[in-house]
Amino acid sequence: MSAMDVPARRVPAASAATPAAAKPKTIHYISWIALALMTTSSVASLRAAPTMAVYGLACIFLYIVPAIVFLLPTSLVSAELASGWSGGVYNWVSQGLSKPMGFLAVWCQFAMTIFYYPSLLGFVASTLAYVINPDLASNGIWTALVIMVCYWSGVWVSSRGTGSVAGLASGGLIIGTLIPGVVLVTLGAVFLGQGNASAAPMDASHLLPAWAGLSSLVLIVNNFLSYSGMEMNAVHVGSLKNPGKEFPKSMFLAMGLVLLIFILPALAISWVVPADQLSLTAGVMQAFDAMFAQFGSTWLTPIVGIMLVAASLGGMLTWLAGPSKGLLMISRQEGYLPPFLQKLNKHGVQQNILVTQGLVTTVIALGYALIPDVSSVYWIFSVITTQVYLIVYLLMFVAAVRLRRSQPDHPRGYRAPMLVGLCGVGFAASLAALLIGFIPPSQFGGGNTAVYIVIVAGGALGLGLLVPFLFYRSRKPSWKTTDVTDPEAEVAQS
Amino acid sequence: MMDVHRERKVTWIVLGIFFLGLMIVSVFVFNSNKKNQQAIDKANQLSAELAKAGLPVPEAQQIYNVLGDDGGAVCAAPANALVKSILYGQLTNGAAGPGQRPIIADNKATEGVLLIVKVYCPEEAESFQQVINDLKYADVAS
Repeated sequence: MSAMDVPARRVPAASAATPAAAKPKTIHYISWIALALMTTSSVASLRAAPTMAVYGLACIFLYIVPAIVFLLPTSLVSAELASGWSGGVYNWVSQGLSKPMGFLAVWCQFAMTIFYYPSLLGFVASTLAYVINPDLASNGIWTALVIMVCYWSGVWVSSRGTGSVAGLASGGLIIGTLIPGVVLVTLGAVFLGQGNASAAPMDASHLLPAWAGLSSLVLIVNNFLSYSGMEMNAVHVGSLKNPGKEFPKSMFLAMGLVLLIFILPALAISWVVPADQLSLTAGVMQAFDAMFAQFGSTWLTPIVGIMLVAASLGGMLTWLAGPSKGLLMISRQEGYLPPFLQKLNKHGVQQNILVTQGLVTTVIALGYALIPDVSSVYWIFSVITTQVYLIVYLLMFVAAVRLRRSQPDHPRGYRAPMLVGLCGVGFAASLAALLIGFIPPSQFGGGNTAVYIVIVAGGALGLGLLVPFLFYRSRKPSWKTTDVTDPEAEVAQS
Repeated sequence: MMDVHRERKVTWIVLGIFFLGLMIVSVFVFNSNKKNQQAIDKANQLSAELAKAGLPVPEAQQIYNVLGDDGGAVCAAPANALVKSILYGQLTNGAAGPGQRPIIADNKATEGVLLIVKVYCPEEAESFQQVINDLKYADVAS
């Protein structure tokens, strides 16, 4: 067992290898609160509030049930794993199952982000269009420009190291999610306090969403994915001073924040804006506009719009910095990627992976913005990528059980209660979400279900299994670089 | 090499100024005062249509503050592929991150927006009707 496997009692690996005369530089740690904010920023924002406000009081059910069966297992299991093994999901799965499976896990986590950025930044472009000139929303050049500028700025910031990302993501969350969230909830409370009746019924009979058979099941099970990403920032566990104790604390704080951010603003909007009127929205911003219009405060709309943009970009930074770092780490250890992609910049950041990913994202984003046929069907990529992401969770839960059995005495800063049960529930929830992903959604209209299944399965197998298999087959022992787990720590001490 | 803390400070200052500037510009550019006679007339017309459809009718002030006299963002090329992708992006689960995924939306999801298009930009109604006819719905909201 290497020192790197034990973040709870971490000894900087390079200190043992560094000649006594060499003076180690200071490692730039991040606080557990910053990591909690990063995690929250990766997962939650106000973007979903108007969508869920349509369900009124039932939005609590739609968030709490997934929290029990998915958020709780994911968070507690990753807290245990991160408190015992550094490096994030690649190392957990490598240790628990095998190195190739570890590569598969981190590849899936990484690959799905490539299709996530254009839709996230497309949202940024439409939000900016709403406050500047709504006609821009339909302008491909505008959308492409916003995506390119934001994405490459994000790559530049990410290449400055985890510390920069942690600070900006935390700032983005506070400015773009927590502050406007408090404003929304306060306005909602004022609205009720003024004696107005809630637009959405708030009685016990509306606690559950309407049951419409399979469609309701699709809604409920797909909501499990609201919490996907909770484990992603574990890759930065090496940037904590005392990871064994601090990572679990950061997860608990993030869990609480995520739940509050998802539920309270959605409820507040449902108090003020009738569900049918929410459906009038031509974008998330219009729901906020309608909310502020109730108070004659539409001047708040552009301010909140820019805040939402800041939060989205902060969230994007965490996704840029996380999975690519995990991919780098296992590739350096096992030689899965060619040396060019393993190259680090002066901050110890996987700059070439980020740039290569950026080039691929650029092509996809330009297609999304400029080719109508691509933008019209872009939603299907979100189905495929979430399917790919669920593979990560399936592997993680199996690995956690295997590690508890194969390495029961391995030091862990935190031991999740009833781990096997938690993993069983989490695995079942992930599998259910994977299966429900094959049911055609609204956007597929009356299309052929078999065709849909073939598209989703083919896309998920190609992106999630075929590509990493090709990388795996092409690996070379000479591509192994080092066994130091965290390249940023390595650079800081060199 | 520039000190890391200084470098971060510079990044913070640059981004802070950028977002503050963007916020100030957007406040000036954003049209938050959309009240005029035509906006009031359109709001009344929409109220009547909503009532006729059995949907809740918001206050006229709320309608014209959001939609103005031209339907605002709703009527900015509603059948355009990018705008359609924004609409599709709303017919999703409650995720705000990469877990966002399409669902089978509620029957009411596009009822209201179609009424707006019919009142504010009737010339777009046919093409927009086609967009929403292509979608599948269910009665999933309580």
